[in-house]
Amino acid sequence: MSTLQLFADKGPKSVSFVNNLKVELASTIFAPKLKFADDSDREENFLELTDKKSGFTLVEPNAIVKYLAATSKNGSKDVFKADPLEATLNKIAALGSKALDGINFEKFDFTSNANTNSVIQILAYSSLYPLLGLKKNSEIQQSVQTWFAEFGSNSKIEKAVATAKSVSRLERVKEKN
Amino acid sequence: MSSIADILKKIEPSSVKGLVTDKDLSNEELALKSQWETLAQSDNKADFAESLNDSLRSTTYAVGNKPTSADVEAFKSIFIEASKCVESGKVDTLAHHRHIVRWIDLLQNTLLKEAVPESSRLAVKFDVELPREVK
Repeated sequence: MSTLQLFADKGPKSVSFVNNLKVELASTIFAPKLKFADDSDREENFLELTDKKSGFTLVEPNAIVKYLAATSKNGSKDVFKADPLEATLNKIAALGSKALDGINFEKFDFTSNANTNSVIQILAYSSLYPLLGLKKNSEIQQSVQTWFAEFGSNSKIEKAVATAKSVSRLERVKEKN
Repeated sequence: MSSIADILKKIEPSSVKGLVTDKDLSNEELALKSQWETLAQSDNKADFAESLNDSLRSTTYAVGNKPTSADVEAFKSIFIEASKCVESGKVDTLAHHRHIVRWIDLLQNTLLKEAVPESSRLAVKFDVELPREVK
């Protein structure tokens, strides 16, 4: 029996939701029995995957996604190889549309087919969700938008998005008059 | 003479001798290596320093007791901030980052001895009395 525990990021910013979505997608795909733990008594607000037995702990979402993929039934250490798209996605997750200037997603070649078992696609879908999840964004290439819609149409992904929203504490941005 | 920023920029993990390679790391170790390499790229140095210091409380290197490229990337990312912390001489700041300072001193005198000239190294004062750490 697994002794892993997963705690959600309770920060108020969009990046906290992105972090929760990354790990929720990864646990849905690679470790379906792993759910966000009850954190009502937890003092910390940060994301965490911890092994109660060994004390092994990760706090960075991309590393958690890769770890869950590598330790899944058909997993391999290859998921830890660096992907040039990852740094760009991290900037988008942190800065939102401000990080889109000059990015040509087509050169990264992840949009040809939606694959929910792909680590980089899980990271891309989560990082782009605040920009593409609710509306179209003309700053992002059409091929990416088509891929995003196809990836998100999977019922497991829809459910994971709902779970990530339910555990996140996003602050509403005040509307400007 | 090169600035420390230029010296750090030129350090490539592939040219550092003594690092453990990926094929000799477990899934847990590879995940930790990935974690510290990603966090080292983050713009939020304060959070990175906090997390790294906390982790180094019970480990020698970023990945347990094995020196990896994550140590090199983290060293490059945090060295200048750590220098400012040490030079400030503020005991509470130093106490708060004591494990990072110990780790930097280890790296600059072993794995990165050839890459970081003696004149650019962190001047750690071992006679500073730090308050006992509350765990």
